[in-house]
Amino acid sequence: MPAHSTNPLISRRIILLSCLAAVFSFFIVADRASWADDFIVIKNAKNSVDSVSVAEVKDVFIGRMKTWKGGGVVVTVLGSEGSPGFAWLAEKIFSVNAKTLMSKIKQEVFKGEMNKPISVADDDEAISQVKGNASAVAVVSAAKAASLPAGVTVLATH
Amino acid sequence: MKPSPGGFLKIASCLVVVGLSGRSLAEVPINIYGNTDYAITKKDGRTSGTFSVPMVDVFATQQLDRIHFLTEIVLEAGEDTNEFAIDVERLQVDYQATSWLRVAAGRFHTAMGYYNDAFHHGAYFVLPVGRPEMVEFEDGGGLIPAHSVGLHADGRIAFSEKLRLRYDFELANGRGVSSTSVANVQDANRSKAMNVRLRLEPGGLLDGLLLGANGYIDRIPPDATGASPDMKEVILGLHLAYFEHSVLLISEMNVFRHEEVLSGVMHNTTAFFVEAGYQLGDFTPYVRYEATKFPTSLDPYFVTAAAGSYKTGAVGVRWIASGNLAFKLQGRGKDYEVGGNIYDMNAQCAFAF
Repeated sequence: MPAHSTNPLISRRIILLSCLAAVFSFFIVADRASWADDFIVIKNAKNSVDSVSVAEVKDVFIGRMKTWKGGGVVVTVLGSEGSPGFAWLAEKIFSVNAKTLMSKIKQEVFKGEMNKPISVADDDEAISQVKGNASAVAVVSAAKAASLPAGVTVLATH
Repeated sequence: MKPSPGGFLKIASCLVVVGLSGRSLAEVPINIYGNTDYAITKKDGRTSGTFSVPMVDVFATQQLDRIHFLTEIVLEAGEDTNEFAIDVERLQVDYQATSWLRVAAGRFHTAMGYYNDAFHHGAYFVLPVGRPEMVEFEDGGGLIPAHSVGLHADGRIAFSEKLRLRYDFELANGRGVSSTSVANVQDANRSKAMNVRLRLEPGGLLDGLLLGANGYIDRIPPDATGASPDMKEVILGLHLAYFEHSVLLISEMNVFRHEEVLSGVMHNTTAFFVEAGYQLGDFTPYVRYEATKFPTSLDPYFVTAAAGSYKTGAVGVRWIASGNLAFKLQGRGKDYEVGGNIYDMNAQCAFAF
C-alpha cells in the first residue's frame, strides 16, 4: 500500500465541500457588493446642505456634528439594529458591525453628546419623519429614494 | 454621596408618570441601566465571595429643538448598609446655540480627562468591571471631583476637515468639605471652581484619536473638625483615547496639588491609568494598569499618605451578547506600597434597556 494513498471517497467530499464553500462565499460577496450601494442618505429639502463627506456622515450619526451649516439642530432617523439600512450604515460608513454601532450610539446618547435618534420601522416611516422635520436625516434604500415625495431630497456624499 | 434612603419610589413614580403621560409637556423616554455581579476577593489571607446588585440607573432624556434635557437617577446599594438609596447623578438642561457653543446648567459629570464624562453609571458601556480608581465617583473613593453643580459650556471648532478642537469650560460650586461629598445645594465657600478641558480631534488617518489636557482650580473649604484645613486645589491632567480599527485605548494622568492656605504646606498626588482592548467580533479582551502615588505627608483632604499608594493590574474579557446585554469576566490584583495585596475575580452581567 502506498504511503500517501488517499481514500477517493474522502477526496470527493473535500472537493464537494470546497465547491459549496466557494459558492456560498460568492453569494455573500455578491450580496455585500450589491447592497453596499443600495442605500443612501436623505434629508429635508429645506436643509441647505446639499452634500457631505463620508466623515461628516459619521459625525452626523454619532452626534459629533450637532448643527447643520444652516443652523438647525441635527435630528437623526434610524431603523432598528437588524434593519438593512442600519447594517449598511454600520458596515459601509463606520466599518463596524450593527451591534457595535448601536452600542456606540446608545453610549453617545447616554453621555449627553447626542440627541436620541427617532426610531422608525421602515423606509416609508423614515421618509415621513424627514419630510416633517427640516433638520432630519435618514438612511433609506435606493429603490425608495428613487421616488421621494416633495420636501425630501438625497443628501449627496463625496 | 449616599442620600438618605426612602422616597425613591416617589421619584421613580414621577419619572414613570412623566414618561407615560407627559404628553402635554413632552414625552420623555426612559432607559434603565444596571448590572448584577459576582465577586471573589482574597484579602489578608481570607477569601470571600458575594453576589451583588449594586445599582439601577434610571436615565431620561429629551430634545425640544435646541433645548436638551437629561437626568440620571441612580438607586445605589451601599456596601456598608446593604440598603438602596437615591442619588441624583446628573440633572442638566442644555441649549445648543451654534455648532461651536452649547451651554448647560445643572449637575453634570465634570469634563476632566476622558473617562469621567464618557462613561457614567451604566456598566454596559464600560469595558472592564468597574472604573479606574482615580476616576471613581466621590462616594466610591475617587480622587477627581466627578460631579459638578453649576454651568458648563462646550463646542467644537474645525480648523480643517482633518483637525478639530473640542473645548469644555465649567464654573461650578467645586469641592465639598470632604472628598466624598458634592456641593449640590450649598457651596461651603464663596469661591467657585473653574475647569477647562481642551482636546484635539484629528481626522483622516488619525480619525478616532483624541489628545487632551485639563486644568481645574478650586478652593477647598475647611471641615468643621479642623482635620482638613482651608486649601487651594489645582488639578492638571493629560489624556489620550483611540477608538478605531477594533482598538480601544484610554490613558489618563492627573496631578492633584493641595496647598494649605495658612501653613503653605503642599501635598501632591499623582495618578495614572491605561486601559486597552481589542475587539474580536463580539468579544473584547482587555487589560488595565493603574498607579497612584500619594504624598509623603498626609493629604488631609484625601486622608491618605504615601502608605496608601498602590498599583493595580486587571485583565479580562467583555462579551457583547446583544445591544442590551454584556457579560464580563475579570481578574484583578492590587498591590499597596506598604505591603498587603488584594486579589479579586469578578463576573458581571450589565444591561441597557
